[in-house]
Amino acid sequence: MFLSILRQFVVLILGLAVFLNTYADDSFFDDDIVFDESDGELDEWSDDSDIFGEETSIKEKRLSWLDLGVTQKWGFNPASDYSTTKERTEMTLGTSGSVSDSGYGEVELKATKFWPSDSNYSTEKSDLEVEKAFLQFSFDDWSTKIGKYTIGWGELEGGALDVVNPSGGLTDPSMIPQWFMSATRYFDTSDLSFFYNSNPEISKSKLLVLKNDTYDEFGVRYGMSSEGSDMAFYLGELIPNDALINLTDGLVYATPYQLIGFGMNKAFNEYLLKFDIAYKNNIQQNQTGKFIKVDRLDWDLAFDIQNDDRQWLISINSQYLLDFADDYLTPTVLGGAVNTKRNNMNYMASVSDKFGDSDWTWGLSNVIASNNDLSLSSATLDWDINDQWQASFSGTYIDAKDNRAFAVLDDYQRVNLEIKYQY
Amino acid sequence: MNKPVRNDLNLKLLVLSFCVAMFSLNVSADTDMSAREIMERVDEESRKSTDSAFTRMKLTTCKYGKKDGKIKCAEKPRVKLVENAQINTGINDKDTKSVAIILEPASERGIGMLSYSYDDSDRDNETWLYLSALGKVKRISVRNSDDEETESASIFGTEMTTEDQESGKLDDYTYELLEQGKFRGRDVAVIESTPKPHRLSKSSYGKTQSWVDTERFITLKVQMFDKNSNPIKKLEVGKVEKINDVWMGRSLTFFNTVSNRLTNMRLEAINFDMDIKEDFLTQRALTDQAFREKYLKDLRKQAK
Repeated sequence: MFLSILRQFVVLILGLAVFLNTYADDSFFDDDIVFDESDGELDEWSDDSDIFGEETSIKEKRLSWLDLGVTQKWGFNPASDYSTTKERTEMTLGTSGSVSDSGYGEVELKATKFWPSDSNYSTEKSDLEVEKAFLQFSFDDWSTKIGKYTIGWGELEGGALDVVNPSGGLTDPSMIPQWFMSATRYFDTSDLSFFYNSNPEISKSKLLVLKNDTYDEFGVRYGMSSEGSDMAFYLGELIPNDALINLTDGLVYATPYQLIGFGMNKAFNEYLLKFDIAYKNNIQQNQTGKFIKVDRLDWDLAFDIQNDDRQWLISINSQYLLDFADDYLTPTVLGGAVNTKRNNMNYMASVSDKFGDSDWTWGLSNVIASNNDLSLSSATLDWDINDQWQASFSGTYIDAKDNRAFAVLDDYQRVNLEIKYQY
Repeated sequence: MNKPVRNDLNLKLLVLSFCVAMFSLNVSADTDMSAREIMERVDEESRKSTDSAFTRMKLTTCKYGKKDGKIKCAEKPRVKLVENAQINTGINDKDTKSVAIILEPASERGIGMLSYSYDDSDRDNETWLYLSALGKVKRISVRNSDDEETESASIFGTEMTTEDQESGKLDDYTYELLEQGKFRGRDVAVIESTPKPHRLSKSSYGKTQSWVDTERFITLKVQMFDKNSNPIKKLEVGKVEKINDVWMGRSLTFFNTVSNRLTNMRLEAINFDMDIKEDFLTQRALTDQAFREKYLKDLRKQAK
């Protein structure tokens, strides 16, 4: 009897062994995701709504056509007991959408209120401007666009070919939109575009009174895209984005120059190589007792490196005067002059990343400009609070040689805080 | 008196052991296919779901935790509404071209991403973004990290990465059939995909394990591991439906188990056999908003 029972136990153990062998690794077939125990056995991962509840529904905006943004900006000077240099409120109102069957339009108005502690308050207390306004129409292989917007040329921002829209300058590199008429013809893997601007804008400066601002500017770009690389050829007559003071008559000029250029990018694993080169004819230049036009060769080389959320940008930029004399002069910011160097080199390195998987992003950058006449270091900390609210904190420090063009900017320090709401 | 009891016990033990053995044999309908063949079928079925497809998807991202044994968002989730048009191209339609445009939130409306994905291992996938503030298209070059503690480059700030969206490149991996059995009521094969050395250097995953429904050839779950074999991410596929004769999951949830963040991609609408021309899936779709809106309007009309 005992042997018989033992035999049955052996059979049972063998059966269990086969069963257990089938489920050798239970973890493969255990469903470790539990949504709602009351659902009982789940056939599938199915109820993601249980995770999010009602919070994920995209609520229809009351004025769905309206884009509203309010930004409060503060700036402080640590070198002067953190005195307030900037305190302004910006409000943007915009809308966008289709216009007829083949058109599209966008408009954005920006109103700025400068508060008494803002350094701008003494000259203007408020400002209202069209930040962006354009209509675009598309027919077959053609597209036309008219209005105020931004045209990006070249691969490197601030590089040899990024010459169409002026920027806010060293301490505010954002692009300033301009009024353009443009047309683009699209081909299979290339496009040919043309733009015309009857009233090009020069970077704002309170120190300069522009002598002549009535020139037109226009340009042509032919871009091609191939696997792993994009390239483009450029041709144009443009107005300098920064006006230049004529040291002989004390007036400020921004006269046209002609440009022939080429830009390309090439992807190598995590690297994106960017290269721009431009020959510029009739660039304004001061010489002892003269205000002349010279030819210049500008080029830049940059690497974009993206590794997860970390982004690096390393660039080198050169402006080489093709004809040169020892008595060429460069005006200083405060009106004097220093000798011009034939090759003007600029270097930039920047890095940004997220703090872990948080909504915080940090950034560091260093710009060495004009053969080390100026070194600008900045640090930023951005907080992407939610889809409506963002905050940004930044600090800037400039170290400039006291016997060169940017001497007045030496020991420039700023701490800025911005809070933005978007609806 | 004892004998019948003993016989009864013997009988019960026999029946029990028989049942256990039979159950173990019938627990799943094992497939005769090799791991590679299964993954080829999955890839084939997956392509059907992307060919000439126009989709509207909701991407929901949040930090998550477990409450009462259930997974819950631990913060207010961020929601993006995205429209995506996609076609298969190239030799045997094994390459993919797609353009994705953000509709919501308002702060990101109009941001577009153009992607070309190639089946051939020697061809790197390509991605471009349009930056309206700079007025130009920017090529994005991304290599996934060697750092096992971090995720690879995300799509629109979600837990989905460009690597997670890749299809094809089957030759870049070796496949091993780890196990077969039942999972959520379906016959599944668990297949481990290990990137070959040349692929490993471009991948943020040391290996992945896929739970493949061997009847419908759809992946129900994927577990991703770093290069030290630590689990770092998980994909759960839900709401499996047969749409236009193609099995597909309408709800994909990516769990980043390192950061405890998840992204759910829910297909709000999907339409196949759409008339999507290759001309649309070019950089023009990013720069020419009039062209893009006109085309998207046409696709929305077709979808109705």
